[in-house]
Amino acid sequence: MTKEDFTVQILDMEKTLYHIACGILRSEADREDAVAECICKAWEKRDSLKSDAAFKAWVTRILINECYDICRRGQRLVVLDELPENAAPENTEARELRQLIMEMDEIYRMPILLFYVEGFSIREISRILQIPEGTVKSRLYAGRAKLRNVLQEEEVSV
Amino acid sequence: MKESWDNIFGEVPASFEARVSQTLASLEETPKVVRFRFPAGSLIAAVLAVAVLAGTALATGFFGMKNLTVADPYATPEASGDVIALQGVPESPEFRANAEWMDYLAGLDLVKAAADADAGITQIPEGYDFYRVFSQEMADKLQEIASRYALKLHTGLTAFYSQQELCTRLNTQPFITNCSSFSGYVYEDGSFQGDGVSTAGRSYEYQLGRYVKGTFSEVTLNVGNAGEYEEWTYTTASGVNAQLFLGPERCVLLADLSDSFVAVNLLGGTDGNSIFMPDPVTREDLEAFADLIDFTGLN
Repeated sequence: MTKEDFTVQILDMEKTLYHIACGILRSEADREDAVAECICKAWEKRDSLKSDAAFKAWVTRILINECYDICRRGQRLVVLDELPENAAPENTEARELRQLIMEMDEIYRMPILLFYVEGFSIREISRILQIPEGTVKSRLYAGRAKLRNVLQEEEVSV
Repeated sequence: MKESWDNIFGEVPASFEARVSQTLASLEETPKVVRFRFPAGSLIAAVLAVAVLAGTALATGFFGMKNLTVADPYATPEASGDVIALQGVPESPEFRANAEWMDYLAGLDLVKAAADADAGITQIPEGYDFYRVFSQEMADKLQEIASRYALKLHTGLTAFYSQQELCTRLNTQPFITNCSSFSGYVYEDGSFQGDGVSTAGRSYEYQLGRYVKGTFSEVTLNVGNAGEYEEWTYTTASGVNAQLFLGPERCVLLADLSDSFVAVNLLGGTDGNSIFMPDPVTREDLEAFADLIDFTGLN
């Protein structure tokens, strides 16, 4: 893979990289560090990727590892109240949905983000998160049920 | 609601875009990595070694990967492969309970069961977050199996971000040496699953699960073709007889301890076709990796 091809593919998935980093890391600086490190590692290891079709899932997995490394170095998982204002969407419904997702347990949050926000298939998510496809499906289902329950409760209370 | 998914995080900040561009601009073209290939003679030696080891395994009461396979509720013609349970040896209550549960799930249309619950046709009962339970009927079946084998159900889990954090929580000593990272989830009974990286001559990326006996777990692992694995018993540096499985795309390490069952999924195999471990894994590599684990700390 040439540098030009690599650059094009990374830029194509820039929004995905940002969303994944947002799903795990609290500060904007940490997200930028994680993505920068991810890009460097993906470039160094590009010859180990045998199929260009798997590029997006492969880079996503590397980024998730980088994000967790930053967590392990003393950072904490994202706390919604501390998200910067410029990351907040204007749409109220989207903001509410984001808040619910970010408050979910991580085992549900990442499959939900990867499936509904980033459009990865269940098989791709299985490979990215290294969990069986059945587990991806059950976590997606359970996560969606939790979201639905909260949304319904709020609708009732309103 | 669908529109909301697309806008959930808003626009990418300019500073983020700038950092990506800056990083991309700094990348340098490097020579391609030359992959090491085994000479043909090594392949013959490896085949002979497998033949010898097969006899050794039988002589030590080896349980074998094929004996650990269970039904896969999500198997399709497009996505198939052998699935193994990770909770115990074939005759253990934990293994038999999981195998029965998988048989039951395989007899259902899980996609429909999930859709029915989603549509409110059936209700998901409380207390089964860690199991594929989409209705009261499924919950009853799970309870029936668990009761028959005198197993408890998981009730909660928390995340951990380092081996030390996990050890503090379990009040035990570190059990993996040369471990640069280890993070995952620990259940209320001390069962846990984590992703880790360790080094011993080379880098190993793996998932390690400890399943406490007496608890029902439905965790399984798709191993592809269970018949493609070279299998043998190995006494590790910590004095435990572990079952090692060397496969083309992954390796598995299992150890039956007195209070728990340990399963390790090494994310690379003999093909050297893994994004996590791009160099081929050998028998010696796998045994060296097994020596990194102090099983006495996991019992």
